[in-house]
Order: sequence, then structure tokens, then C-alpha cells
Amino acid sequence: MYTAEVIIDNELGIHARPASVIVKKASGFKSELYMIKDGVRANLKSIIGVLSLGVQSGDTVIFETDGEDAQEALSAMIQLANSKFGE
Amino acid sequence: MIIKGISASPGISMGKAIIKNSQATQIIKMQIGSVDKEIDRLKQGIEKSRFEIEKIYEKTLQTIGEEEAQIFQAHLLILEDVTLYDDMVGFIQREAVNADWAVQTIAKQYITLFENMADEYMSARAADIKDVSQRIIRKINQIEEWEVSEVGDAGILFAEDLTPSDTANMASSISGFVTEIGGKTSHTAIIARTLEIPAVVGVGNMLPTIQSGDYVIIDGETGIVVVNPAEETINIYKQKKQTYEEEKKALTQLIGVPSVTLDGKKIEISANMGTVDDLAGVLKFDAEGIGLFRTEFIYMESDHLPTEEEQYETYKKVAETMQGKPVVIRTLDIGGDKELSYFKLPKEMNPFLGYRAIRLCLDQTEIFMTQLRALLRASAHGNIKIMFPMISSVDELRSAKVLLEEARQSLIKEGVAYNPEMEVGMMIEVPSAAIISDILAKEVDFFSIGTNDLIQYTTAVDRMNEKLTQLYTPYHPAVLRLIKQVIDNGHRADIWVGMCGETAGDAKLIPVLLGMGLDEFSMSPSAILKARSVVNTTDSKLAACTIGTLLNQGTAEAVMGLV
Repeated sequence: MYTAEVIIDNELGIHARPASVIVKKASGFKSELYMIKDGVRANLKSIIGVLSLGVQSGDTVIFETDGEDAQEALSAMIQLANSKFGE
Repeated sequence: MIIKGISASPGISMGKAIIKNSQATQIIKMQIGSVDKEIDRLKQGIEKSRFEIEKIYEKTLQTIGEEEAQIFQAHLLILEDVTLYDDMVGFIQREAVNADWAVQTIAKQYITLFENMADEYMSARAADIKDVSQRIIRKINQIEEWEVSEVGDAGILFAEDLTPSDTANMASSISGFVTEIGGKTSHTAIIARTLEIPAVVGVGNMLPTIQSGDYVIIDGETGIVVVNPAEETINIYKQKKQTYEEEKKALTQLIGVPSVTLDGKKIEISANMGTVDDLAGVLKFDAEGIGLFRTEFIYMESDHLPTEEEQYETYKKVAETMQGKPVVIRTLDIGGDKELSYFKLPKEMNPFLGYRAIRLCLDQTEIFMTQLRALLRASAHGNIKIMFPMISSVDELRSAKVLLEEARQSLIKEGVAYNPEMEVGMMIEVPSAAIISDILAKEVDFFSIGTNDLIQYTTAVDRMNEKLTQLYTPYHPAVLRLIKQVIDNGHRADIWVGMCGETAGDAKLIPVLLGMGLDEFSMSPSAILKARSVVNTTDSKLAACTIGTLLNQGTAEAVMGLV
């Protein structure tokens, strides 16, 4: 299992478009991918899950991945966050 | 009993009331013996729902349109969502309860969560989750879909509100809609207009006062609903319905007929449109062009700033569909009351006088350049004309044209095709622009008078304020004088002058506008044929003789008395 703490700093937080970008990317991995905010876990392969966290700009979240391609999955998520989800 | 609501789709319908009670199925919590069996019921409920939603998607796509159908694509995503599913299964396992109770409990949690996010996009997701979860519950309990066709055709449907699934499912077997809530732009209203079924919305709490089988009349034009009318009233409405239908039929004979005044002046009657879906109506009612393409809808319906490529495809499709007929595309007009969820603007004291339309575009040049490049590229595929909104000074117009030239240069450098002859015009909707229209006319290829805002700004009357509706009128002599001045100034500079506000479709004012020399009238597609019938029976030279008297009236009432 791999984890990383990331600060989300794109302008609108994780809104409709970033959320669908995340779900699309996450669904490409065999591993389980989660995002944790204030102790609440959301499955990154689920749009309802991702949106329900209501992540805003400036929030700190933890990415957690587990499975055969967990390492790649984690770095892909970090990369997405760093690129501000292509905003 | 007579009830007044909001007119949502014109026409008159009479017949038996069909009441749809929106009460959700009562779910009872039960302790169950076999968790596996309940999970199986849940899976079957989801599977049956998928089958049904796919069917509704296909049906909607064929009978209503792609945009409406997309709602059901979103429903499928929710149905397949792993978080919802895992939570439901987890709840059944933990609590050893029935599947429908689990669906209801988990759905409620997410609905509340999304409703509380105070964001239009998120609340819309709440409505989707509600629609989908209720369907799963119905399927688990094997409750059959409420079918209108069983009640018999031609009934008038009464409901508190209708979900997209309801409306799409029933539209084909219903002769009218009445809903307790909703406005002119609610989902039901839009579908009713598309299918030309009379509808009245926003009638308030009336379901308790009406019973299934009551005889009702609805008048979609005035927003009136009559329950159990007297025979006299029925006869009056029968007459009205006949007149309405005869008129509608007579108007369809004007399809394909050119719009020419009795004295031989060719007039262009065009359509206003917002989305590609509107093209069906534009073609159906035989518009002679598009006089106003409100591009903000492309931005409002997207969840991100539309890219150059996305915009180009849309503009190109519209231009190609119109096959060489003029397509006037207005550049982005947001701000004021039109907001974008992904591009937040600070709240203002006076949004209509604030940071909006061309003012915003001249400041956010990156957004503006993307649109200008897309428009120029699309101009290679048809007769596109570009129009700037909210211009209030010569400087703004020049700045906008400088940016357009920049966009042009960048395309030339890249060797991308565009139409170098494309006409560039502006809206006249601010009084200052109307007053200096003689100067502005020298720098554009056309004017289009936007009466909705011009009236509001000239008379200082907020057009959304319900207490001021009496004061908001195109018949105010000041408004008419400004319009006349703009047309004259345009013609002196040899450019054409059109109009794209509601006023252009006002059958009583069309002869006046013809008398003033207006060249183009742009309106909602359903008003086109009526306007053509007025144009084709008006002598513009005769009408011109009455303008002097009209403009010297003191009051709007006096003007109305003369037209």
C-alpha cells in the first residue's frame, strides 16, 4: 500500500471536470485507489465518491493506492494534482 | 374553478385530468434472514433499472433530442457508481436489512450531501441520484412504471413536478401538462414546447383540489387552467382552440414563401437560437437565417471553458446546416444574470450595469481570443457574421476589432482558412450607443437592435422586477425614437439594421418597424410565420407615413392606441 499527502491548489477545487478526469485516470489501474479528506475515504473510481468529498482549493488530501500497479497509480494521481487536473 | 399559472407552452387542450401523485413508495425497514438474498435483490433491481434507463435513453434520443437524452447517460453512470453500490451492499451486510431500505438510506445520505453543497451543478446531481434510486426501489419491489397509456390518450397530466424520466416517457401520450412547481425554463416546459403540447407550470398547491377524471381546460398561452367548467366556458374555449389551430394551420402555408412587403421590399425574418438543438425549430419554421446565436449557452452548458475546437465544431455545424443563409453569431455575453459554475465572478451591486459581455471579454482577452479564432475558422464553412454585445462607446468597438484582427493574423500565420469578407457588426442595446449610432455606423457592417436591454436601460426599468412590468414596454415613445434614430443612422452609412429582441416578434409593432425601414427581424422560431404573415400584408411606404405622428405621442398608451 502506498500513500501520499497532497495539497489541492487548483482554483475551483475538485469540481465536476477535475473529478471526471480523476475517475477516468483511476479506472485505468488495476489497484484500488482512494482519496482521504478529514478521515473520510472516497473511491477514486467513483464520481459520486470523489464529488462527495467536496474538496476545495487549499485542502490537504491523502491519496492511497493498493494493488499490483499501486506505485504507478499513486504517481499518476500526484502528477494529476500537480498539473491542477489539466485546468 | 379557475387557476392561473405560468404559460410554458402555447395552445389549448381540453379533456380528462390525470393525476400523478409523486408520493414515493413507502419503504418499511425489515430484518432479513439471508444477506446474500438481499444483495441479490439489489443486483437485480440495478440490472432491471439499467435495462429501463437504456430504453428511455434511446426513446428520448429519437423523439426529443440529444441534449435531453444525455440526462439518462448521467443516470447510467450513477447506477453503475461503485461508491453507491459498495455503501448499499455494506449497509445490508452490517444491518441485515432489506435491499430497498438500504437503497433509500444510502441514497438519502448522498442526496442531502449534494443538496447542501449550494452549487447548481451539485444540486442537479442530487436530483439525478433521487430519480435513479427511486427507480431501483421500484424495480426491487416489482412496482410497475406508472403508464399513461393505460388511462387512455389525450388526457391532461397534473403533477407536483415531473422528473426527466416522467416527461420523456409520457410526452407522446398526453395532450397537456400542468405542474405545481417550475418556471418557463423548467424541463417540462422545454419538452412541451419542443413537442408543441400546451403546458402550464407553477400553479401552486392545486392537486388536493382536483380529482382524476375531472374535466379540465388548459390555455398554454395565458397560463389559465379551468377545472370542471360550465358548458358556456367549454364552448368559448372550443372556439378559441379552433381559431388557434386554424391560424396555426394557415401559417404553415407560409412555409417557403418569401417575406416581402406589399410595396415589394424584401425583408429577412430570422431566428434567435442558443444551442444546436434549436436548429430543428429554426428549419421547421423556415427562418431566413439566424439573426442571433447566443453563444453563452455553449459556455453555460459546459463544465469548463469550451475549447477553440469545441466551439469551432458547433459554429461550423450551425453554418453548414443553414446552407449559406446568414448566421449572426454574438460573442460571449456572460455576467449580469448569466453565470458560469466554473468561472466565478464576484457579486456586484448592479450586475446589469457591471462587469459583463464585451467588458469582460476585453479584459479576459484569452477567453475572447479563443472564441474569435473559433468563429473565424468556422466562417470558412458558411455565411457567418460576427456581432459584439453591450458596446457603449467607440473605444470598446475599436478594441474588439483590434483583437479580431489579431486573431485573423494568427490564423494567416498558421495558414488556416477563414472568410476574409466576413461581416462584423454590433448590438445596439445601450442608449449611449444608440445616441452615437451615426459615428458607430461608420465602423461596422451592420447593427442589430437588442430591445430587451435597450428598453431596460432607456427607461431604467429592471425587466425582471415583477412590480414594474407595467413600466417595461417597447411602446414608450423614447424607445421608439431611439430605434428610429438607429435605423436612420445605419441607413445613412449604408449598412443594414436588424432587431433581435422580443419586440421584433411583436405582431403589432412589426408594421411600425417596417415603416421605420428595419431590414431584418430576428425572433424565436415559433413567432416567424406569424411575423411573415404581417410583413406580407403591410405596405412599408404607407406605414412610414404614420411614424411621425406615432413618435409625437406622449405616452406608451397613446402609441398602443394607434398601432
